[in-house]
Amino acid sequence: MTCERVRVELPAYLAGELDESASRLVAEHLAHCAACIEEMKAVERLQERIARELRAWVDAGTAPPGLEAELRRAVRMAGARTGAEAEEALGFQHGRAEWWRTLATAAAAVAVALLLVSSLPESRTLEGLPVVGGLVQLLQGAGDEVPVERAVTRDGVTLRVHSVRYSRHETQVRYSLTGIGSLDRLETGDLAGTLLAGTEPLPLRKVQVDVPSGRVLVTFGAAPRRVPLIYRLGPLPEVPGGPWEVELGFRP
Amino acid sequence: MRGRPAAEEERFFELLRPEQGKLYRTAWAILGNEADARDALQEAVIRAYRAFSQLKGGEAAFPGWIRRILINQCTQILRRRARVIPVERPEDYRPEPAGVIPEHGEVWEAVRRLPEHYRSVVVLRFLADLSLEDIARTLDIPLGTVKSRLHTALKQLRSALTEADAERRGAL
Repeated sequence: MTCERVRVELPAYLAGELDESASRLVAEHLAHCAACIEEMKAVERLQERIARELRAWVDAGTAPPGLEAELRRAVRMAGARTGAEAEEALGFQHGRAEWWRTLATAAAAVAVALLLVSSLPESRTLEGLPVVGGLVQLLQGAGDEVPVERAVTRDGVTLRVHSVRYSRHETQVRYSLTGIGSLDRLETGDLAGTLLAGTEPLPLRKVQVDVPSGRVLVTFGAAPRRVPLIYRLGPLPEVPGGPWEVELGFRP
Repeated sequence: MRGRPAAEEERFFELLRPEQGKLYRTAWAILGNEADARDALQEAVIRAYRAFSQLKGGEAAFPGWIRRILINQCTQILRRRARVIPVERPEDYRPEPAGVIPEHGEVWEAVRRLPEHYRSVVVLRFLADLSLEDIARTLDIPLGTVKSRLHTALKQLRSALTEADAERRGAL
């Protein structure tokens, strides 16, 4: 075994995580290599320091303001749901309004959405496209969505892209925006953002916004393959920070 | 609340209160950003609350129990991330506001400046106490890659901490 190979194996060796034959090879090398013995001692000291100080850093942690209230709200809302399916369908999002409770208890998403159309003036859509389908998707997403779950925070405002759905005809980006209060203060068009394929923006087709949940579904034209995709939102009127950008990777 | 008495909720949050800050930092360290840390913590707290009546070992076991639930939640998020193309996320490297860096923050500062693929290995190893094989499974990478990442990360940390130690000595 070379010195370099031994050094890569040292953390596993020190923790007793090597199998017998590999452990013996490392031990045989150490028996006649003073430099690697010194290195082993240094790695051991370094590992102890990292573990000790990381723990101390964690133990000194204090909760950010409002965290407990947020957790209590989350526990109550989750507790109100009647089934794992409903929860799974909704996904989880902090700051979600009480409004979701009603939805979460319904097993049939279509039936729920139909009810919502008549009862939720806060839900709005751009370009007059079908609201029912949009609400169902806002709730649970489509089956062939690619999970993203990436967030970027600037000036306390967090853009989180939950997922992207690709098809031959269109690309849908599902995101939420938190830290700005209600989305109601913004125009629907402001929330469209831009989907860049490389440096080229894809054409915007539709924006659907659910104000109570802060969840937005934006539909663009079809994305080319093998081109990196970036979703960019903002800057938004009277909202600090921005633009917010999330790299989405490539169309699969 | 599915008929749960308010007293039980109060007891749960009384036990949680002294742990919240630690759990938050644990999730932050593992996931690398505050938004994901909040999500993971919320999901872990919901799970813990649902299983609270089954907590074995009495209330003394609560901190370790909920920490384990949180770490499981964080590793699930990392596993999901491993299935998508990795990108460097700018918020991970945002410096902490002046005055926030706490005592014992030197190692954390060095760790958080590591590139994501090194940082996650270090934190899973030294904070979540995972074996190298468990880290490989969590991140969906070969064991050899975990070993080489840890090796490189330790080299970078040693260099950063040596520099920080020298600076501190110079300032005295």
